[in-house]
Amino acid sequence: MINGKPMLWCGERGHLAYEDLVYESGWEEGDSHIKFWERWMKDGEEVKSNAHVYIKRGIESVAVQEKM
Amino acid sequence: MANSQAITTSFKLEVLSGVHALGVTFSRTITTVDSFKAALYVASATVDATTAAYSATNEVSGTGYTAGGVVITNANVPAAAAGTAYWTPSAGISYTGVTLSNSFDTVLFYNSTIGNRSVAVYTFGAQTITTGNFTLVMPTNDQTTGLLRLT
Repeated sequence: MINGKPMLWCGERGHLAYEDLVYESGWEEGDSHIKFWERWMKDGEEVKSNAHVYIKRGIESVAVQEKM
Repeated sequence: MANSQAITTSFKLEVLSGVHALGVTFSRTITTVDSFKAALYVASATVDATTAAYSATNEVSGTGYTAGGVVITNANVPAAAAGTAYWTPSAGISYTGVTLSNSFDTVLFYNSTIGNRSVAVYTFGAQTITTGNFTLVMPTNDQTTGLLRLT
């Protein structure tokens, strides 16, 4: 909080007033993963973002044995 | 009962633990668990099954990211069930407080103890991060969804 306003730390841009930011988020799902992303925009520029990927299923290597 | 041919489940499990050496080009001098790392690569890279070892070429770069990536937490020993040997890191992988402006979509798992030799490549859709966190959450460690499975 600065001057009673909630702020968001945006790295080199310092603390930005939350009320000045536009929040966007979304989900993406692929065959083997689900991704959640979120970002905060100020004047059309991305000032902060996170992403979290859940790997639904790892990789399987099938052993092949030739018949004798 | 009848005989049936198979690559044994115990062999698959022991491959993950480095028990068998079918080749003679490499010998281990250590008996402890290896250390593994996870490095991120830009979407325009060509990291795939032919990638034999970690390389900094086309690796992401930016604030908060150290070349080579981060150490993978490995408290899980390889296990086997229903004819499948499997292993999954025991914790998620996090890159915190990073700014990665070049779109990336790939993580390479590699063995940082044994010459940075590659283990596996995973893709997750193109992404950038601005002053934030990127995390990879691991699947359930079993024979169906484990991160590495030999079946």
